[in-house]
Amino acid sequence: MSNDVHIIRKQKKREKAFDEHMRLSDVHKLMRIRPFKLMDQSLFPENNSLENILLKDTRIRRLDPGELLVRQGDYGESAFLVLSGSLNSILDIEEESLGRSHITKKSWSQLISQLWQSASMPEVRDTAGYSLTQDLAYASGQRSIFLQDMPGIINKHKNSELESGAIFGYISAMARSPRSASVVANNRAEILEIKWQALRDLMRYSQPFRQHLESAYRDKSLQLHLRNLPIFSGLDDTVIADIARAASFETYGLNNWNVASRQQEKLPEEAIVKQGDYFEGLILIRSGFARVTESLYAGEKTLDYQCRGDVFGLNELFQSNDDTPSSYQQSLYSIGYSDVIRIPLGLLKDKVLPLLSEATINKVRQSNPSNNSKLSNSKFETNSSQITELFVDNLFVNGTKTMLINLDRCTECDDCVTACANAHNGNPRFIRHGPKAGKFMVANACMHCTDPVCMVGCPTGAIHRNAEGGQVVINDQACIGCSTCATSCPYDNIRMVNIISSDGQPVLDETHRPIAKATKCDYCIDQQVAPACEYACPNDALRRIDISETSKIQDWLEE
Amino acid sequence: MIIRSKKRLRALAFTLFIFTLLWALEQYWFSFFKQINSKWSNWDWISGWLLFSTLTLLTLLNVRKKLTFLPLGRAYVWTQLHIYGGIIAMWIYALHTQWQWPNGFLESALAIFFWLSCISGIVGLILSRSLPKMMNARAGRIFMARLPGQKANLVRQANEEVHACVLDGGQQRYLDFYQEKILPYLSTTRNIGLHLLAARTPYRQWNENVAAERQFMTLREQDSLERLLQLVHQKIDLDFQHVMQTLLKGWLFIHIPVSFCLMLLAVLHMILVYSFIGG
Repeated sequence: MSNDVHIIRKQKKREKAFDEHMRLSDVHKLMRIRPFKLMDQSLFPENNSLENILLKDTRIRRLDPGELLVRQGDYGESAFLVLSGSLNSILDIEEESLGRSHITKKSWSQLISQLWQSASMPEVRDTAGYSLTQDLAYASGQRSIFLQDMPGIINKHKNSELESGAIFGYISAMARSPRSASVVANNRAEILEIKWQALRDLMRYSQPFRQHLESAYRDKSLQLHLRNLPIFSGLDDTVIADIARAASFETYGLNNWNVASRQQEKLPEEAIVKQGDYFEGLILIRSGFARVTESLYAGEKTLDYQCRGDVFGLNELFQSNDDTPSSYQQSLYSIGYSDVIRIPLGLLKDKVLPLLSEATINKVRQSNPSNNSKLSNSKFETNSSQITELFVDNLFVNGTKTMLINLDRCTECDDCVTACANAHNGNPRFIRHGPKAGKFMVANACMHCTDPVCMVGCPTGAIHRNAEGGQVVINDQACIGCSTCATSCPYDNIRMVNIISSDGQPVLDETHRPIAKATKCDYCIDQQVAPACEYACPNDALRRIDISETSKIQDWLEE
Repeated sequence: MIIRSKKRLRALAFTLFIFTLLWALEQYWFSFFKQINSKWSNWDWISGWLLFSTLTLLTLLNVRKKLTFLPLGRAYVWTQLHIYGGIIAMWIYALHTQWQWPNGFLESALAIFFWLSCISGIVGLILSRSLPKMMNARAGRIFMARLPGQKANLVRQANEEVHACVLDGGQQRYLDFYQEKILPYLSTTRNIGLHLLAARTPYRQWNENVAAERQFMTLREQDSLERLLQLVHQKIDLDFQHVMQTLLKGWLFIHIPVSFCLMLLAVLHMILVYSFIGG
């Protein structure tokens, strides 16, 4: 063997601590309090002990009164345990109070000045603007955000107190949904921040802990979720509480499906139910996406997809009776990742079906995606099955502003690219290339997803969802160029670029490495005309659409 | 032709209404204002200004395309207005010239540029509506910017194929056929005329060429030749895309300069008319 072989030490899981200041003494202190003291340490594997999990994947944070811990709408990867003091969970605080920078539209004079002010070189930035922004400072922990007039805000907004021992934030950490409320310290408080990986392991190895979190979820969020479903909307609180208690939680696929799909070039899929399986109850999609298929000869045909809030099995439920057991008429596969809730058939038959009127059943049938397919085949002129497969296979159904190009109309005049470049200082923010099916092409442009996985893991919160229009945008000043978002985006719609100064020189850091920034389509958020690409197309060949709005696609095709 | 779109039906109905209105104006305008002895009785003056205004409006499409960031409405709507406006302009022109070919030099030049602009516009419209569909129907659409890369990729694959075959004992005739026939074909755009006619002839020609050569080849070489033929077929598809896309962009290189000249001549025409107007 050659002596030139360069050998390095292979890094191990949890080698790098979440917080280097976390000490064993802190861990031992934590292990003496609930819920950790109730955990059976012998159930944890040797290489992933409770002590190691707490040491490497948690950190202790100390907050001053009025200090903001979590902002509503932010995507976080952590859950929190109140160690001492108390906090307040507050709904719908004004954006300005949360310290978020506000995006304003350009004035007419600024728009017109784009004609001569557009940079002649790509990715030019005004580096003078790269001071420590409020967003960056907040995210990096260099500066905290304090709520001004906290009593006033508490009086004005719906809120609830979180006292010592309370665990919160675990739903958005595990389901990767935005934080549903802002959390602020009432007094000097000590918080344990638990990374989602640690939370997952704790739930896996400690049954009581898992049950504790599930029970808390059943008592709060699940009941609210159930009440919002048409089938349960008319039921009284006791029945809803019974359903919530009987529900079981299941997870399919991979939580980091976006990364896995990039590595394997295919989204991981897992069967939730198969066509012909004995009908055991309803399946509620809590988060993620699932494919609905039907057997066709030797294969399976994709009929539709389901997403958060959808219910699978309603047809089977209404057709079921005591005499003949029914089976699922279609299969349901998780695409990437799905969190589902099963409601057992027995309970539904005993407590729900007898209370449902004919009118409610009809209403539910109409709202049921199985009857009202989001991607109904009749909506597309040709190659309908191919198009449905394209949207579902690649999970383009995740997009709310997907760039769809009708190739039968596109003359490649490049007006869309030019308009995009004009709106972004000479830099087009999409690539007119992508997967095709029939006459459609889904171009390489940010889809402003329902589940924006790119936002998970951004260390500074630079990539965020705009509160007003829901667009996913990058705060250029807060972006530190770590490329987490670019590697997380399963659609490859975020690009890292090396920036240059207005005098044409590359911008370097102290170690003389180029400064990179993440860039993507911002849906022309600061422009008067949005999106510029769609407005500029002279042949109506390009539309930014929500794939689920098939009627709009149909109208477009018929024009 | 079945008009499926309600919008298109409405636009056509509106255009027909404008046609009728203009015809009625031309028929009755003159006599009505003549009776009351008004300066508005000059139909040439009215229709001339109407035509110039319409042509000016048509040129605004290009201005709209440059000002992408101003809220001026969708470019598609402007394009539709440009198309229907162009049809209306032809009608106004016919009424303005009273369906006659002018006899002066400048007027003749003006007429030539007007009709050149109209014809190039109509041709462009037909090309824009038909070529994208043709390109999609045949071997899938590849955008112009990606064609050079795709062609280079084919050459690379062909070279690798030949290299492997030669290492396996490929003979001189096989190598010559590749170097003299296939490689030059893969390296440059060919059969432009045939592709303009959307003919399938290149496929047939190459199938015949390869079939004729096959008898002199070993089994390994025949196998390799088959794969090279597949690459040639892909190249034919790329050439077709290239020719169609060139055509799709090329018509604008006639339409825009001709329209520019037309506007200059129209301004000159107006200056001369006002310079020599009587009274």
